[in-house]
Amino acid sequence: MTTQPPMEDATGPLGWYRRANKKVLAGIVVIVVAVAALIFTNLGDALTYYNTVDELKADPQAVEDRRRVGGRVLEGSIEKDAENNLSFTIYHNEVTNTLPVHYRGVVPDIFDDEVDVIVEGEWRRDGIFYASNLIAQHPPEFQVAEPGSTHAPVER
Amino acid sequence: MHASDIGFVALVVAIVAAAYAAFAAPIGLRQNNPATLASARNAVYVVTGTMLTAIGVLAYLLVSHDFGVVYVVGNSSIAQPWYFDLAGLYGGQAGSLLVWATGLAIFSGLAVYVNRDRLHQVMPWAIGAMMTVQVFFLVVLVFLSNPFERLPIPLTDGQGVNALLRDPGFLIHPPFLLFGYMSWTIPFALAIGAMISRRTDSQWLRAARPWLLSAWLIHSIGLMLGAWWAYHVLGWGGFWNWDPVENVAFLPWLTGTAFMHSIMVEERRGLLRRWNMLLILATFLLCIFGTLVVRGGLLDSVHNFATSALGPSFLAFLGFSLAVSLFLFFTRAQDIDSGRRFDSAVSKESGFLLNNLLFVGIAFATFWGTVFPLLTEVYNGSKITVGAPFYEKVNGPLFLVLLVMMGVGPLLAWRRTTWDVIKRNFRAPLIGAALWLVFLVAVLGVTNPWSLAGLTAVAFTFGVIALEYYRGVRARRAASGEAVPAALTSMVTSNRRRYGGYIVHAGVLLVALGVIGAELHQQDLDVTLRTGEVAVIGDYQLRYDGITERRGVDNDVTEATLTVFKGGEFWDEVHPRRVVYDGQESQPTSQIAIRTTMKEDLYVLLAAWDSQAATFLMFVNPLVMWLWVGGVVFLIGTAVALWPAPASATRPTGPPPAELEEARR
Repeated sequence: MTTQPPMEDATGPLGWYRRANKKVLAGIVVIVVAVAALIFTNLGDALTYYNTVDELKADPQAVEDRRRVGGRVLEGSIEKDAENNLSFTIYHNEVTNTLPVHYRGVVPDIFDDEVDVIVEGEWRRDGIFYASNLIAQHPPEFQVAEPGSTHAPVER
Repeated sequence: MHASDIGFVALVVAIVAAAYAAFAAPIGLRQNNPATLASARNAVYVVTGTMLTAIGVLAYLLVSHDFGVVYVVGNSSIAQPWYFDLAGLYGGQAGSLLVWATGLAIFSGLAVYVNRDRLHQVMPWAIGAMMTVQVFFLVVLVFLSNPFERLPIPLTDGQGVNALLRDPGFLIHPPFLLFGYMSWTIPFALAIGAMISRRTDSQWLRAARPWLLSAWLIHSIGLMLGAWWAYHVLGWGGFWNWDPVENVAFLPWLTGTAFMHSIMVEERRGLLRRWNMLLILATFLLCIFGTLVVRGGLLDSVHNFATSALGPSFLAFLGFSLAVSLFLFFTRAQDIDSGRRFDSAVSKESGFLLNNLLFVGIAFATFWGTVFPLLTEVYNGSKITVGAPFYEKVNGPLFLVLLVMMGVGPLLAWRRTTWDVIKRNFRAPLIGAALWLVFLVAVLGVTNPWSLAGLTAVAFTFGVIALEYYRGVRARRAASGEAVPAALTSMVTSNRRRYGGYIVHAGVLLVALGVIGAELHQQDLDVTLRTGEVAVIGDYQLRYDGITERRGVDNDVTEATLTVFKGGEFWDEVHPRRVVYDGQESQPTSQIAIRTTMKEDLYVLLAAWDSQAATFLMFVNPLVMWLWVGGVVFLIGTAVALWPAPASATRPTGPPPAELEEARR
C-alpha cells in the first residue's frame, strides 16, 4: 500500500493524528460542528421554565412568558362551560395565594379537586393563566402500602 | 416457614455464588488452574439456577395471592385475571429489578456455557465483569428493594397492577425493555474481558456477535412495543413523546445500533477499533443510566415511578462502571489500536463512519436534552423542561440524513469508490425518487418540505434495496440458471447478514413512513357533541349516538357510540370507552377507539361526558399502520440475519479479510 505512511510515524500518543486520513478527519469535524450547532441553536427555543404558583407570582418577568406552573387544584374551583372550556384555580402552599387558570383541551383522566397539576402556557396581564397543556400528576405509583394502611378506595 | 423465605434464601445463595465466580474466574486464570476455572463456571450456573428459583417463587406468590408479602399486595389482587397477577412480576420496582437480574443470570449462564472451551484468556475476566454486575443487582435486591419482604399481619386482598398498565401491550413491553437493558451486559463484559486480557483483536467481537444481535433485537422489540402501548393506551394521539423515560431507553439503542454497523468496518478492514470499544462501553453505561432514571427516580416524567433509596446506589454503580471502563480503555488504548487508516474519503467504511456520527449525534442530542434540566437545576436552582420540539428539530434532520445514507451505503465499495461507480449505481434510484417527488407534489399535493424530503429519501433508499435484490437474483440466475424463487432463497441464505440487513432497512423505511405521516400530517379535533350532533375530521363525519354504562368483572365501563360516515355513506361504528377499576377509582383509564386502514388511523378518545353531551378528542393519523408493519418486517430481517446458517455457509474457507490484511502487514 503506497498510502500507508512509515510505521514510526504512526506510533506515540499523536500517532492516530499523523496516520489519519485528513479528508476523513475534516469530514468528521464538519459533522460534529454541524450537530453541535443544531443542538445549541434549537435548545434555547425549546426551554420552558418551571415555577410554583408562588414563584410565578413573585417573578416580574413571568408575565407573557411561556411557563410551566405546578400547583394543586383548589377544591370546588373547577368550572366547565358548554364549549368545553375549563377554568380552575391552583395554589402552592397557602390557599390564599392562588392562580386562576383557563384551559381548553383534553382533561387528564385523574384531574380533580386537590390533584397536583402542571399547566403550561402564558400568564397574561388580566391575571389569568392561559394554559395550552394540562398535566395531572399521578400519585406515586408502585408505592407499597405501609403495614396497617389499607389503601381504601378514594371517596368521591 | 413461608414460601417467600425460599425466594429470599435463593437471592442470598445467588450473591455468594456470584461473588465467588467474580473472584475465582480471574484467579483460576492467573494460577492457570482448570479446576478453579471450572468451579467459577459452575458458580455462574448456580446463580442462574437460584435466580430462576427466586423469580419462580415470586411468580407463585403473586398468582397464589400471598398477601403477607408487601410486593404481592402492591401488584396482585383477587379480582384481576391471573395474567395481570403474573405481570405484577415487573409491575413494581423490586420485581422489575429481579427480572433484570434474572435475565442477566440466564444470559450469563448461556454465555459461559457456549464459550466454555473458547476465549481462554478473555472469558474469565468477562465472567468477573458479568458477576460484578450481578452482585450489584443482588445487593440492591437483598438490602434495598426486597421483593420477598413480609408484612407483620397479612392483608386479605391486594391493590392489583396499576390501572394504566392493564393492557396487552403492558403485558409484554416492560419485560422486553428490561431484558433489552440487561442483555447489553454480555457484550460489555466480553469487551471488558478483552481489554483486561489485552486480547482486543477481532476474536472477542466474533464471540460477542450473537449476544449483540439478540440484545439489539430484544431492545428494538421493547421500544416498538412501548410505542405501540403508548399509542393505544395513553391517548395523546401519538406514540413517542420524547419523555425522559423514553429517551433513556432510546439512548443505548442508538449507540448499540451505531456499534452494530461499525463492527462490520472492524471485521472487514480492522478500522475503528477504539471507537467500537468506546461505543460498547457507552451502551452498557447508558443501560445502567436508563435503569437509574426509571427506577431511581432521577428525572421527573409521566412515568411516575416512586422515588426511592435506589438512586444513590445506582449512581455509585454507574460511577464505578464508568471509572473502570475509562481506566481500562486508556491503559489499553495502544493495544486496541490496529494501526490502520482510511484509504479514501469516499468508501463504504467512511459511509459507516458517517452513519455512526449521526447515530451518536442523535444520542448526544437526546442525552443533552434529557439531562440539561438536571444540570441547570443543580447549577442555578431554576427548573426547566426541554420540550419535544427540541428533539424533533435536532433529530429530525439527522434521521433524514440517516435515511439517505441507508440508501447510499450499500452502493459504496470498500476502500475507495470512484465517481463512475457512484454515477452508475445511483442513476436509477435517483430517477425513481425524482419521479416520486413529482408525484407527491403534483398528484397528492404534499407541500410540507420536511415531509417531501423524508418521503423522497424513503423512496430513494427503497429503490436501492430493491435494486440490490434484483441485481443479486439476476446474477445468480445467470450463473446457475435457477428460477427466481430458488435464486432468491439461495442468495439470501448464502449471505444472511447482508440480505437480512436489507430487510431490516426496509422495515425501518416503513417505520419512517408511519413517523412522517403521524408527525407531519396529523389532524386533530377537540369537540363537545350532544346526542345526534356530527363532528367532521378529515374525510370522516362522526355522529354521536349516546353513552352506555355497564359493569365488567372488576371494573365499570362507560362506552360512547359514534357512527362514522365517509363521503355521506355509513362506514363504521366506533366505541371509545372509559374504564374504572375497582380500588383504583382515582385513576380511570381510556380505551381508545382506533380504526386502522392502510391510508390512515381514525383515533377517537372519550375525554369527558355528562347527561347531555360528551367531549371527544379525535385524530386522523396518516400511515401509522406502516409503523407497526415496519416493526414486524424489522423483526423478520433481524431473524434472517441472526438465523444460524449451516456450518459450511457460515465461513468461506480461509480467515476473514481483516485477518488476511493483518497477516500481510
